[in-house]
Formats: sequence, C-alpha cells, structure tokens
Amino acid sequence: MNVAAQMSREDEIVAWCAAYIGRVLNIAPAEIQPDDEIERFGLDSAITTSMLIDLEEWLGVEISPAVLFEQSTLRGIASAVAARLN
Amino acid sequence: MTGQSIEAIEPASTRYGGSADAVRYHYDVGRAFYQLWLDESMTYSCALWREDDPAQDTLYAAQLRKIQFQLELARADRATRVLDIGCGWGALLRAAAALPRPQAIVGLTLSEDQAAYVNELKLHKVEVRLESWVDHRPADRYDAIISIGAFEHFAKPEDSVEQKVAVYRDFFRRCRDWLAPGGRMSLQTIAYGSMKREDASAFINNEIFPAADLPRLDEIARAADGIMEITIVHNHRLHYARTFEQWARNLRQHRVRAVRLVGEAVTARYERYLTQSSVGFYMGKIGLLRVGLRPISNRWADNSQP
Repeated sequence: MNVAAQMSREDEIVAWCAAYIGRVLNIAPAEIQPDDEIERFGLDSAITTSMLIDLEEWLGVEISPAVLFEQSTLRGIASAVAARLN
Repeated sequence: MTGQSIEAIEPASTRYGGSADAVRYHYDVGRAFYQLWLDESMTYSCALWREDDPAQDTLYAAQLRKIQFQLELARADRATRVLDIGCGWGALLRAAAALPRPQAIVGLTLSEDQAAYVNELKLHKVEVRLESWVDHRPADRYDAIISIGAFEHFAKPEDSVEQKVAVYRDFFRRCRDWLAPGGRMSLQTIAYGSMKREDASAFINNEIFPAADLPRLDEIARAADGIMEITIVHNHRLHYARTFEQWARNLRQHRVRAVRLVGEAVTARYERYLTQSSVGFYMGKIGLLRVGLRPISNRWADNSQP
C-alpha cells in the first residue's frame, strides 16, 4: 500500500474506533480526539476486547493485544493496525 | 520420621471454592479442544519467556522454562518426594520424573480427563490422584510441593475476605505439615492487581470460571503469616499477557477444527476469554504471582539453613 493510501486507511480506522468508543461509552465522537491519551476514555478489558475483535472482523486481519498496548493514542493504534493491511 | 502416617488435621467440613463440578466445567470441555491451542506439553498456565528476546521463544520452550523455574524454586532436584497440587495434564510431573533424585511424585487434580491423561503417560515414579488437597492424606512427608494455577479455585466469589484467608491459611498449614525439614514450596497464581473484586468480569466469572475468585497478594501474605515464610515473590504479569496472546493466536489458527469439535458458540467464547485475559494482564488489572515459601519452624537448626 502506498503512503497516501495507508494514511487514509489510518484515518478510517481512527474514525471507526472513535465511533465505536463513542457508541459504547455514550460519548460524542467529536470529543474523542485521535491524539488524546487513550486511557482517558476509561475502556475496561471487556470493551477493549470487543473493540479488538470487531476491528479484526472488519479489517480481516489479526491484531494481537500487544499492538494496542504499545500505543498511547487512537492515532498510534490506527497507524500500527494500518501497517498490517496490504 | 519416615513410615509414619501424617495425622489428619481437623476434618475439612467446609466446602471450599472450586467444587469438583466447577473445575470439571472448565477443564473437561474436551481435551482435543485444548490441544488445539495449548503447547504440546498441554501446560495451561503462565509460561516464562526469555528476558532478552521473548519473541524468539516458542510457547513450548517458554512452558518448559516455567516448569524448570518452579521445580528449582521448590528444590525438587534435591527432593525424594514431590507433590504437585493441581497437576493439570502432567507436564510438571513428567519433568520431575526425569530428575534423578525424586523417587515418588504425586499429582493431584479434580479433573477426570486430566487424571486419565496422566495415567496414559505411564510416567515412572508418578502417581496421579483424583483428589483435592482437602482430602489428601500423604503416605509420607514431601520435600517439595508445587502448585501452579490451582490456588485461583480455592475461594468462591461469595466468600468474605476472612473466609478466603481462612481457606488459604488451611492450605498453607497443610502444606507446611506435609513438608519434611528442609522442604520448600513454590506457588503460582493469578492475583487481583489494580482491579477490585467487585469489578471482576461477569463474562469470565459466569462463562469460563464459575465458582472461582482470585486472591490478592495481601491475602496470601496474611494467610501464610506465622505458617510459611515467603522467601520471594515475582509478579510476572506481562508473561501471562504474552501467554494468553499466543493461546488466542493458536486458537484462531485452528478455528475450523475448533468449531468442528465444540461448535461456534464455545469457540467464540474461548476466543473472547483468551483475548480478554491478555488485555487484563496488559492493563495491570490482574497479575501473575510466583511465590517461594518455606515452613516456619521452631528449630534453630531448620531456620538457619538457607
């Protein structure tokens, strides 16, 4: 995937995650900034797991928890996940 | 000293934590299913990954490393008699049987399938008993006691903290009484970390491990107080995050066969449980304790021995 395509994939993933978190935690997606520290949103292990599993289903790729926890922001996660797509 | 039977401690009238049914619910879901995602030694507990480059380890190598670590902590290499409380599918029993010194190795499990599997291994010097530690009456003292991944089943969610500590105390008291002078114990258990008991996952409690409640480190310390001396505590939380991650990856790789064996619902349930456990360890909600213990003795000669 070229850089431009990967970056727009990244934006898509950010938007998906923001919508997901917003839905589950009843927060307006506009309040979920891609560069905020992710622990601010207060995701527990159950919600994080659901998000991870749904993300894998949507993208058709395996994402291990390590990928999530090496990042501190939604943008970081989206970037790491986008890098796994081809 | 030898040849005397160990007198029964006061009869255990209390029904402790993980009833046989509860343990069977989890472990008897089908050996073939577990074989899909556990390593070839069928070790269903936290592995020990090499420090320098954990990604270089296979799961099997990491499980063997854990087994060696636990055997060393309990000084099984110097032992004549070894007890494994919660022996699972026998990986540690097999490793102990390969040591030159031990002459008798006893494994306890509540799972009929695990007992059958260990018997099929026909390990020299090994006896597996379908028995709880509550009912165990050793023929003779042990020099080494190891317990990995059983402690989590001793308490029930409805137990008060005092009741939990009482169960753990009973366990440590028996183990102390069962150990010969110079004997050692190693314990491995999941424990609450930043998570409070009240916040424990309903999903895991209801669907995966009914009737189980995790200990807190302070409960273990309180229970051992005056009975066993704690010599070392490791919290290897991230080792378990990595272990569960690998199990989830293995299950996903064998998904088609898994569904054929246990169906879609059970497969999806385990995918969720394995992933969620990994997440819980990454988040620090739960930890993994490896604890070394030695009996507290009145004898100066015992206590002065390293």
